[in-house]
Amino acid sequence: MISWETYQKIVIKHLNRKISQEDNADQHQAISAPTDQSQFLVAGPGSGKTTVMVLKILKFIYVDDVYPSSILATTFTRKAASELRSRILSWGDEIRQVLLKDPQFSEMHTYLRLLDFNQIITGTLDSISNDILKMHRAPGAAPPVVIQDFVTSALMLNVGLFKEEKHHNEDLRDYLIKLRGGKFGFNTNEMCKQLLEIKDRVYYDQVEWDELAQEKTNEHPGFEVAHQAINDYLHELETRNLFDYAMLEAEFLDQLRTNKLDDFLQGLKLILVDEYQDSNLLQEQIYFQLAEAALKNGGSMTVVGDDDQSLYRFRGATVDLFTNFLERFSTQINLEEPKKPELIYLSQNYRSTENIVQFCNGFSQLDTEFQLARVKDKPAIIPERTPPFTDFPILGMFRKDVETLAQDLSQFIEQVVCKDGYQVQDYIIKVNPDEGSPTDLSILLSSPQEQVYKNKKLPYHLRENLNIPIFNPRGQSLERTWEAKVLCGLMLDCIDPECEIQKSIEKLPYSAKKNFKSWRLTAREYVDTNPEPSTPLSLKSFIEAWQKRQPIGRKTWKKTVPLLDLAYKLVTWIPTMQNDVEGLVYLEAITRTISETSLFSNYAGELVFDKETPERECYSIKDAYWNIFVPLATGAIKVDEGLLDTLPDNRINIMSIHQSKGLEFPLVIVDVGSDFRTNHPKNAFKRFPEEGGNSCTMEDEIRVCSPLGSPTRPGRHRAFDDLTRHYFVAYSRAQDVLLLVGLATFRDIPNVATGWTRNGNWPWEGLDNIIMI
Amino acid sequence: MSLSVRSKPYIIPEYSLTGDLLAYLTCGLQYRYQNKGTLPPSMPIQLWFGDFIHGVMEEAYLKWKDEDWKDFPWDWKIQIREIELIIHKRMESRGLQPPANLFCPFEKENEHQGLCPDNHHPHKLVASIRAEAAINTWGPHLFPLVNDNEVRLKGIRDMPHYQKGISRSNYYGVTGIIDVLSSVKLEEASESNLIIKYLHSDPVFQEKLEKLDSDKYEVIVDYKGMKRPSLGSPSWDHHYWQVQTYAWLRSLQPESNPVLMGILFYLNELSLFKEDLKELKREVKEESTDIMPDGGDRESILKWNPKNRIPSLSEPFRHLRSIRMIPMDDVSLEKSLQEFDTVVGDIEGSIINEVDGLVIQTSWKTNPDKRTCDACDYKTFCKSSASTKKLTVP
Repeated sequence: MISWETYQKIVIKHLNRKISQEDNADQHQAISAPTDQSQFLVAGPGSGKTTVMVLKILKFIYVDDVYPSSILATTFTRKAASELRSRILSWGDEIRQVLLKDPQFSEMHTYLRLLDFNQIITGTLDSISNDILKMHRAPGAAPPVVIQDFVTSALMLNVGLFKEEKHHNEDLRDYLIKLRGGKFGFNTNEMCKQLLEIKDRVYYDQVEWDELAQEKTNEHPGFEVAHQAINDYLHELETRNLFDYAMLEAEFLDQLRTNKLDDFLQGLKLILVDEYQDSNLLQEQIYFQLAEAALKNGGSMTVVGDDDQSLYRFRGATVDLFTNFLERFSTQINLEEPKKPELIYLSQNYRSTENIVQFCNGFSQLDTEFQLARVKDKPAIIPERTPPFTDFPILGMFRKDVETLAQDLSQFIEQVVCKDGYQVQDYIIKVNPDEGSPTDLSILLSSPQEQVYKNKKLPYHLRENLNIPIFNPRGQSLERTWEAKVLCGLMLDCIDPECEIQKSIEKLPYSAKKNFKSWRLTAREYVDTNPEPSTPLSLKSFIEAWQKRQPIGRKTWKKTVPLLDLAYKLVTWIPTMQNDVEGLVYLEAITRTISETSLFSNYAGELVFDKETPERECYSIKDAYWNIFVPLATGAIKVDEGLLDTLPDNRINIMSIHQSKGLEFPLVIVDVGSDFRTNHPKNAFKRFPEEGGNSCTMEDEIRVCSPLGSPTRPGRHRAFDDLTRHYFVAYSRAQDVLLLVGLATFRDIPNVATGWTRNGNWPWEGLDNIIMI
Repeated sequence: MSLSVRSKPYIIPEYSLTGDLLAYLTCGLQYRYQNKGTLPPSMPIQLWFGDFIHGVMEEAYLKWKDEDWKDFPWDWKIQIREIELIIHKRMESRGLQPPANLFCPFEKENEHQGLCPDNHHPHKLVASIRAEAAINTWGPHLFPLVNDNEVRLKGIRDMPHYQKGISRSNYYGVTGIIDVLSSVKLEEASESNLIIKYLHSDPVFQEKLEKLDSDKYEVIVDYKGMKRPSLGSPSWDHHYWQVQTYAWLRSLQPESNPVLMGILFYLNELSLFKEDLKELKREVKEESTDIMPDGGDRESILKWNPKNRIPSLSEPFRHLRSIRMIPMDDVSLEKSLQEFDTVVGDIEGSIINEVDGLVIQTSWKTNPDKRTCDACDYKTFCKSSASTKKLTVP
């Protein structure tokens, strides 16, 4: 093995990371700790936490001789996991190459060649649970089979809601509407989402489900229906030996607790958890089980996170588990006097300019009540970005209406990206002339939706105004994209031309019927344009032949036809689905639905044309309506953004603040209020909440029967805390320039994003601390 | 001073031997749509059967090991059907539905008819016939030799033609799963073991064994849900590279011993499809297969025409055709790794084309081969399709 000094020297010289005591005492302390020293790393934005995690892991291997397979590191997303893993493999190998070239380490060469960094267990907690349960299953036991998120939606629709037509049950509707705090946008898909949310929270908060049912049924008759729908869903999964992700984690915890995974735990020594601030109780309990084993084996647990960047309360995250980590570690870990974790603040920010860092610091310290929700005595972030860079001022652009804002913002962006730059005071803002691209900019919003019913939002207007293409995969629901409308409409017109079968189905959700109509209309309009190719067959002739069940190019009509086959043939006339990355992703979502949601179907996505039993044609088409077209039309199917990684660099990113977590951009534009024309109570939850809102209501509703108990902080305070964190994350994404945009009415509208505090004060009155453009 | 340039996330792309290498070699554009773009195939016969038979063999081994199902042959209705349904459920949850003419997913007589010809479930269709043949033919010989199953392999290599700022990463990852790893000592195995018999009679294996320093070595086994490829065909070569590369990946694992041999099982050979037999007939005529039939088998194959029922071929002939031994050697290994590098270089090049704004069909190479194109879902819009099957309704 090598000494810490040698390791440090190699890291500084060859990996160019300044980890010495003099350069960065906090990182030095975090990385150099002995294997049995647990750590609580409170890492501010841009503080190099991935670097610290990777260098800690490699130090354990190179200096402390820890076997790679006894290290487990988890991250929040699959993408973050691949980044962590890639960095470990790359730096691990670079250090190895340095040592192999140096004769003084010749005794280690055989060991070094056999060192396999792939043995380190990295991934999201879901993927790790799945792998471990599979690899360490009991003799004869089946490996867990996990269904993907979109299948869970389809399953909840089919088994939970459509069975006994619970989607029309008035009690259930009333209960769910109360829970979400309003009727606006409430439809079958929303009901499905809410039921899944309740079900997930029950797992996440480790709730006694039947006890909760008893308590709540007396409060609202709708709860009983919800309870039944969720039980039907769970029963269906159990019958099929399937798990969704929440159930998988619960199973993992159960097996850890009942000593079924002791084989695995025996070898475990080091646990590292990233983004710990967004953990829920179930996950915490898993981590503590793993940590217990690691501590017994002479190892430790390191958690990394930042309470100011906790964004996922709506998905069950409980930030208090992070802020109270030190206390919980000592009370929840079942060992006699476990060695106390060391608290280290990683406060040096290497990402942003001084102005941006000071702006973020100022923002997080405005509200005195917010300080009570933060890690105690947390220091401010320190700007440490390496020069050269320009310390641009923080900017603001506020206009009379969203249309004007979009026009001016588009001009600003084009000036910065394509022209000579945008001048503010003595500064010119311009992308790097050699290597710069539109991806250096990002527009962050609470929601990147382009249109809500007829209401056109800022991203919609930007798409209209900008001469640069935009990338906004969540801006439009799949079922409303032109490509999906055409393809689905054409399929429907082929298989059920006069809507006879559709009409014969009772109780189709209203939103589905509405979209079927709109799809067919868009498809027919497209057929009328006579799209290419017209040989050997035009689209019109193809459709007509299908409608008349008249074979072309073959003697007879086939007995069974996969719906997928029809879909692919129709793509012949939809060029964007063949050649454009975004179009292909829409096609993927539709074809995936056809192949995967047929899990609940007797026809597996096939259409049956059997002369002897003609009714089977009708059954198979009805089956396709319920299992394929209804989930698509009700918005239950989402595109897989992971498939968009080859999108060209020529687009401007528009994304939600949630999506931007963990990312950084040279220029960040944050929408702080393009939606707020008046101080209307309906949009108060997005800027200056009057009450907890749906995430807090759900939390209060479910946690009564959780070991965590009901939250002590009032809902309104939690809602304010969350909004502050939300915009703190948004602002701290910026490296060089931060631009806040909104409507000119901002002066009259209380808004956390513009610096209002919950007691109604406005310390940043008029936003005089930023330069208006 | 201008804005800084956004740093791209550092991610080492991973390529799997079967999912990427072999798929890309079939056709680059099909790989883009089907593997990278994850478009599901409309007639997933190959994909479904490949997964099914792997799952069945793995589960069968676990039953043999953990539940002491040691007596062969196993009864289809009582034993094998149970395994089939476990695998079917697992595959179904991943969206892999059995093609109707291959497998009956129903259990009881009163269940929905679905796509089956009648309600008398379960039907023993071709996938079941093959599963039964595979387990009962090779199970008794293979299972006692198994040391480990489903062994995951990972390694990294330098990115071919790496260019800073252009390439996605300076390394790429290689992954694979060995179906079965055997490290049994030959002398300990039963004399009646057919696999041992084949190994013993292989001179290359004997030579390697003699040269070995220690008595510890490994044999890699891979199941193939397909017929034996003809000599020198792309699949014949690709499978050879695959096994060599597995051996290299295995050598990176700390607990490994030298891999002396790879064994491939072409499980379709135990019960051929019509399409398989058509090809075999052609290969026999052209003498392009390494295991040729003689006597009655030869006559049955050559006399057969697609309108007839599939003839029954002799057991020794089917056994011999379903097993392929691949000795490991350093020269082939190096060549195989270079092939892998070339394929990764091509794929990465196509990805860079896409990122640079070229449309998908221009960014990826095609491999217009009539058989591949006829079975391809994208033939009606692929500009270079060699399929003569026109756009049909339905």
